[in-house]
Amino acid sequence: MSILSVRNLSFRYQQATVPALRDISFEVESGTVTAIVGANGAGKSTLGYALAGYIPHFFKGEMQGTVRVNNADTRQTPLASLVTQVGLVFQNPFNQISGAKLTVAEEVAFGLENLGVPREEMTMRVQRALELFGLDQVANQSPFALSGGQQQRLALASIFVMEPPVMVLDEPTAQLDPVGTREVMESIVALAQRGQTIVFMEHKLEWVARLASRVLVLDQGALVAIGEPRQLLARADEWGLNETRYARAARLAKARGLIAKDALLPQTLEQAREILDL
Amino acid sequence: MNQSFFLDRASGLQALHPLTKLMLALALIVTAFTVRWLFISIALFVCIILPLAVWGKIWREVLRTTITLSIPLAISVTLVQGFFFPGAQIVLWQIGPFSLKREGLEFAFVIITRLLVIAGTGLLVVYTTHPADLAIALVQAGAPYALAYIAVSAIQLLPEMQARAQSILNAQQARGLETRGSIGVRIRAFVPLIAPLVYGALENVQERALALDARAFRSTRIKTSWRELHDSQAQRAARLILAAYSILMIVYAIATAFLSR
Repeated sequence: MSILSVRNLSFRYQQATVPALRDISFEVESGTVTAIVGANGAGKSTLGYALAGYIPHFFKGEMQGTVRVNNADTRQTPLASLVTQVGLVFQNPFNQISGAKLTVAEEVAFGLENLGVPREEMTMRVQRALELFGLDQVANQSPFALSGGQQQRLALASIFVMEPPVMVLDEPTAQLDPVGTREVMESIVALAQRGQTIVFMEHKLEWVARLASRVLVLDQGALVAIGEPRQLLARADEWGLNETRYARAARLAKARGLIAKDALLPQTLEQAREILDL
Repeated sequence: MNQSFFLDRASGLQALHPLTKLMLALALIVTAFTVRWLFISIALFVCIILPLAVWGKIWREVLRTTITLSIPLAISVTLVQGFFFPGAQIVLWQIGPFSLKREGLEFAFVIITRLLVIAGTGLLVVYTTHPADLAIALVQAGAPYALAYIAVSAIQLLPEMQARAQSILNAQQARGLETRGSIGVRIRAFVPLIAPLVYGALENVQERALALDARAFRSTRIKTSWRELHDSQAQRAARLILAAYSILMIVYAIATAFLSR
């Protein structure tokens, strides 16, 4: 069942001369993980803003086409109502801290307070979110005292707790070190295992290959490819993306005749093991 | 790192409803500005603010901060007003062409002690009030939610800005910029600090606004609260009395000012 539907979406920011998105159409099935990849400036973040309704409600410009989330047309639905349908997590963990709360638990509860959720239910939902994202041990600490990875998990928990059917994650590990990246990605794995519909923009293709069931490739605002991760990521260099270390190693191995020339490039450790028959 | 002025000391003052503390602070400030007695502000500071600080288990912090704030101010105000107060007659001390006058010193004393009252009452509130409680109280008092958020987040983001300024200073020191030493050196170091600090803050504003929207900040639903504020009939009555007292004192001050013309 399609939970997110994008039809002929184009968008040009106010005062921009070229469109940031060009005639994009795709659908996302409920409970799946979809990755959106593309070089810098390809339009990934803009597409994320459109999926979450920030376009046209926050960013002004010329929008054509439709975005429907859980049957709500993002153009017709106020942003304050859309947040219960689609949650957006941003790149910078620090900027997602409200600044009005002293502890991690209170910070997670902030969105629920705004939605008017009764305190008993709020307590239950906050506890569940803290546990899912491994934040229960730091529940009483200041959000500002957390590491980057913890702060981004806090941002994820703060959106997850509002129970939107779709979560859009805009390069959630872009500003994190490898340890923070692993922490956040493992949290996303846990989310996916719960059946959460996730759309995430990401540069780190190894994680894309591990997490996504489908990949969309954006190039200069246009959707240029859509398909299964292993098939598409094998063509990463066509779109100016850095291929994974496994794909690079396999390419070298192919050139030296160590593996079959027609073998599909591996994108994850498991796929590399399969090729090498380990 | 503590990112707020709030000091969790489990005291009677902390347990008071934030509006009660705000009304008390208002009444003390109004008293300092309306009662025409030279020593009213210092009396308020010593007899009311300091005992309240002791009750709130924050007297060390209140004393330290008010003294740190007031010493440089006291020196400059005393010198300026003491020597240059317009129309002053009673000379206490003559140094060459300059004379230190009693009226100027008295005026400086009033200014400094009033500032002690403002700083002291402000510290009593922010040191003993959880920022979230302050926001709830302000909304309960009829303040717009966005305004309450701005007031509270500004208090909490201030230490964060200090930390960010320090990290910029450290980075610039690492590249050889002198940031310690004479006033001149410090002023020269201020310019390369302020530009990245302000630019960085402005750059963050948009993403912070987006993130607030993502948390239903602009939702029109009736908001609930994670924290529970405790109030009582006695505190409600006290707030009414303090509000009435403050209004009466302001009216009295305006009336006497008109009558004495």
